[in-house]
Amino acid sequence: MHSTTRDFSLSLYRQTALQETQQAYAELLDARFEHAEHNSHVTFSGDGDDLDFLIDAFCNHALFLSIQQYREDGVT
Amino acid sequence: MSPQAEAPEATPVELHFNIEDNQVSFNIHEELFVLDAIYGAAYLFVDRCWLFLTRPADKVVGVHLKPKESTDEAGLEALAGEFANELLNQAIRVRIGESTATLREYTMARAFFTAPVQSSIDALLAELDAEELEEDELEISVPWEETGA
Repeated sequence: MHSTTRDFSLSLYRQTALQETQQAYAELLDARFEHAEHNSHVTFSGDGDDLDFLIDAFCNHALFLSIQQYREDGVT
Repeated sequence: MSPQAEAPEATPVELHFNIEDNQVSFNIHEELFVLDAIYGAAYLFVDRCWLFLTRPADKVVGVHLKPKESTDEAGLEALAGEFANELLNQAIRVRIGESTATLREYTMARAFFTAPVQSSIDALLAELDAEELEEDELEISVPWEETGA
């Protein structure tokens, strides 16, 4: 099984967006979170050849949701 | 001496980026471009690229762009340039939004909270009714044959 890690800065990615993305990708990708004060350290693991593709898609989805939530909150 | 001669020569401004593993990365300082502008540009690139944002230092956002379709180095450089252009667009959008916020609030407040004004159609109908009443105060219908006689 392969594994890769990524750090999501909580000043850029919303915690709720990361959780929603984790739930959305639960059947496709194993993402384990370790929360720190300023970032979320995520370990992705999987067997398939498309692990990198799924991680990239996960990051895009989390960013997309973070931007949406940022705009909904009306922070300018 | 002309003003052009006094002005210092324009120096080229380069976007410093790093290309590695079919990915282009560069840093943006939040004192130059607010997060709203960075998000705005990123939002428009989500369908074309794989995006990942990092925080390499305080007030600095690291942007990592990976095209969904493989491309050469020139393509990655062009992608970074497009993102930088879009960043500028978004910064202007944010500035205009801030400078016209009061005006928008005033317009919305006026639209919602002022007394409704009678529409022009209603005003015209009322005017026509008034004219008809002037001609025949009792408003008794008369056949056209009799009026023509």
